[in-house]
Amino acid sequence: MNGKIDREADGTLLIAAANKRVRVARAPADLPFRWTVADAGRRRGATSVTGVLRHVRAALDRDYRSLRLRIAPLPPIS
Amino acid sequence: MIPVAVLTGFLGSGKTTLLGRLLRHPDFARTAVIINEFGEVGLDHDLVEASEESFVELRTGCLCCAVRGDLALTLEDLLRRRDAGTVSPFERVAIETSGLADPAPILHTLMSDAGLARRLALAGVVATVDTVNGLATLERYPQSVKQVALADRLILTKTDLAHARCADLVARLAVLNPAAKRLEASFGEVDPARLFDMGHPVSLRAHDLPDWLGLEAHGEAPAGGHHAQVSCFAILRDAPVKAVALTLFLEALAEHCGGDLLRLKGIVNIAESPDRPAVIHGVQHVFHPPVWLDRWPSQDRRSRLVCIGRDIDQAWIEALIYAIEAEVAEVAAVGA
Repeated sequence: MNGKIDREADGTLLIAAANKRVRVARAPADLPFRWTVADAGRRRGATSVTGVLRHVRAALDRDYRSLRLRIAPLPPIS
Repeated sequence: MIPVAVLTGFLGSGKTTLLGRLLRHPDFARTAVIINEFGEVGLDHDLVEASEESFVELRTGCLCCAVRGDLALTLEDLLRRRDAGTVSPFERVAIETSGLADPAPILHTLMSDAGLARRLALAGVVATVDTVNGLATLERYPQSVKQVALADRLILTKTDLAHARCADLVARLAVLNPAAKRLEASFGEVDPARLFDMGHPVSLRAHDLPDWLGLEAHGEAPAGGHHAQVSCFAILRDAPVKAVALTLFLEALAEHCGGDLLRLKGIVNIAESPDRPAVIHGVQHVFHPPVWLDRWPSQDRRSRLVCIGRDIDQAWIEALIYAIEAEVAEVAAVGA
């Protein structure tokens, strides 16, 4: 996906891609999140980098369907 | 545990010939064989001599898409019959996929079915590559690229016919999957033991690691080989990785790259377990639980991850793990 990312002085990221603009910023201290991800007037909280990634991907990629990590069963203890 | 080898390779690349040779070898007589044929009229099974009762043909469709459940049921049935003594006590299983199959879902079945995992261990993936047509096939058919990318062993077939062109193909394979060991087979002749000694991560020992990772034979870091959007690269980390950071990293990889992450394997220096490295192995979004080695295989205690993927940017992967580690460190510092 082509796009552009700018970083503001306070560390906020502005992402422009797929005809959308997404803003990733540190969450205010009174919110139980570390980050906020805002696009098209909606703002979501994220507690981690991986959460931010999920929100950004969902905002920019309409076809995005996340896959959950699956752990194979353990073999028996011999 | 009964080892299971998955034999893949494009149409006409010599899988059945190889399997036929394998089964005629006296040391490998006790091999149960599952052959998946695509199409109305099966033929491959007629070309392979095997004991009838431990031989199963799946003809309902391509293993990779239509009959995954059938594969699990077939394996369960084989084990049940082995326990009951109605088939010979086979010591290994070979699954020959159809030439058009994507091997990844087959590996998922073997890795993620709890019932099978108690009895069967994936020995690895063997891919046959025809030295006469292999280059053209890799150019034209994405399935063949994926078969090669997922393999632990690459068997170059028909080498008696194509020595002149073999060098180009070998160079291409080295780019596509530098970690896979390459063997040559003329008329299907190859040491059958090499098809089952690939080292399942569960049974790996420390000294097997360099070979399994493929770093030693191909340099410390396979350099960004790229072919048909499939690339292979290694990520090295000097500092130990916290367990939670590794977990988050693997979750993010599965979530965002799952379908394109053809293979990830590696040895990781976990901060909480400095003397016992973790071996990780995944196919797409399915991972084995980490296997803890008793010791490091050498003085080199760096974490080493070998990744084979489609349209996966090495820089993105490295940025992801750095970001996650930085966040984990930041949270830990706040907590302290």
